[in-house]
Amino acid sequence: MSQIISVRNLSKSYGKHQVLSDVSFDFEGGQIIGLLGPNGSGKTSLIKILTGLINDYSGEVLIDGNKPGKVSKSLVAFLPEKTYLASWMNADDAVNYIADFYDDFDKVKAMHMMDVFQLPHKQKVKTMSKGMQEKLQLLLVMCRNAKLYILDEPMGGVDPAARDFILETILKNRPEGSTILMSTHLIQDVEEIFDSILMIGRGSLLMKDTVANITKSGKTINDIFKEVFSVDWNF
Amino acid sequence: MTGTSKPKGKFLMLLKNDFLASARVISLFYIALIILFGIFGICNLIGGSDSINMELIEKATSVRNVSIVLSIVVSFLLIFVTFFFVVYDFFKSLFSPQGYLSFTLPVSSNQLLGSKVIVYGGWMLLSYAAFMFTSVYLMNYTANEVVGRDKISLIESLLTMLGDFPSTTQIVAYLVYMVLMFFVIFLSFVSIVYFSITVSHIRQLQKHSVIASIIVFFITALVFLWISFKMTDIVNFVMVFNEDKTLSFGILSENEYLVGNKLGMEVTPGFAFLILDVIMFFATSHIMHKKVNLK
Repeated sequence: MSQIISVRNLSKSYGKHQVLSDVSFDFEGGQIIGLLGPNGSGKTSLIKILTGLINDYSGEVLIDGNKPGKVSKSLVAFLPEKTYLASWMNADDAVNYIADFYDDFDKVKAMHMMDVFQLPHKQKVKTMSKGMQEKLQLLLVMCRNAKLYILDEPMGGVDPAARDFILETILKNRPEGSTILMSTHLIQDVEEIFDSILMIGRGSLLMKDTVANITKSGKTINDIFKEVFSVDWNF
Repeated sequence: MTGTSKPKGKFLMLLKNDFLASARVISLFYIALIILFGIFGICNLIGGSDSINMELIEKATSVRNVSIVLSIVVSFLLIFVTFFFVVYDFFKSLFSPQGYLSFTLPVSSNQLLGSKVIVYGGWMLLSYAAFMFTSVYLMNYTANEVVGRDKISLIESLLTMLGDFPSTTQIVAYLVYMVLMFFVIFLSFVSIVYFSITVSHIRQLQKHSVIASIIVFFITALVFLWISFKMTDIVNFVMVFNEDKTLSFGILSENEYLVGNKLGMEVTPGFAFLILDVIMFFATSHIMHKKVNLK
């Protein structure tokens, strides 16, 4: 299988502050990858580079063989941590907007999911609760038949019931053969779904392995995470 | 699954969605203007009718007068509302969290910027056209009512006083020149505004983005003026209205056409502004692509 993500000697700095330093890794398609690391580890910068939001970096980044740009953006379905929809849009407007730009967007499925999620079609985004906005954004991403899904903290700041709902929606609607790169702090809740782990800390790649290899020793990913990053909290 | 998409098709989608985003507010003012013109027209019909009683005619005249004033006010407000949208939507759709959506669309930053310039440029020009039309039409109408004389005949009398100079061709050329200059200056204004907002969102400036954008705006505007003055000093391309009713173009010094009792319009500043607009477009797009940092 070809490499869906290929990163070579990636470095990124903001002035004198180095956020990513000579990071290299590859992933084959068809996996669920956990992007793990504490706050300020460089996860968000890496995601922004992969999604084409940051373009001034050194090194090489390829998404399914394409540099971040128009083609790669049409292959990637990105769920940012923030609410990115325009406040004037209603749910139907948001669906139509995404359908206009992505040929792989399944509008019929989106309309159906809106009913399943009990999202009023004509309610404006600005009047929706945070939970409704998150549902809508998740729906917009998961109704695409994308090659790569990049989900930035999809379960951040939601209650356990909502976490299960989000996770189920992601797994149920993920097209066969697609890849998911998911950043999260809630390792315990999701570690069983990961095929591979990418651990980033202090701007460097600390671990890249399959879950099968990591858990051979009987340790969980959560245990490994604590081992790797506990040094940051021990003074 | 489709990996690639037609760039032109996506650009049309950008135009469509930028238009829809702006039309939901701006169009309300046009609807108000159309309604006011409708009221004005109906009241005019009532006022001009012989078969309707005087009381109704007086009421219709009052309503018509109010509609004239309101039409001018609404068309004037339209310019400000449109300008507010030109700035607000550019900021909101690109540099607020909405930017996470805009900048991950399968389009280039040139297309993102181009779409906004076309859509908002169109709205701005339309708002000026609506204001000019409303003002000229209704003021001319009022003048007819009050003075009892057609404005056009007044202009004709003034032109007669000037003799045969300028000719109709020269007047038309002058009007075309004014419209084009207005368009170029307006374009420059928008390009400077967009450039300022974009620059103020690079990482080093975004903590003080409002102040930064204001400072960058004034500095860039001054640079625009300085460059246009310098270019005019070097090559002063002028459209000259000759006394023999003809038009000519040439590179003249300021004294040449003033001392020579000629009327001339400088063309170089327009060209300078146009060149600078193109440079600004690509500079803004480059900064947007390479330097902007979304929070």
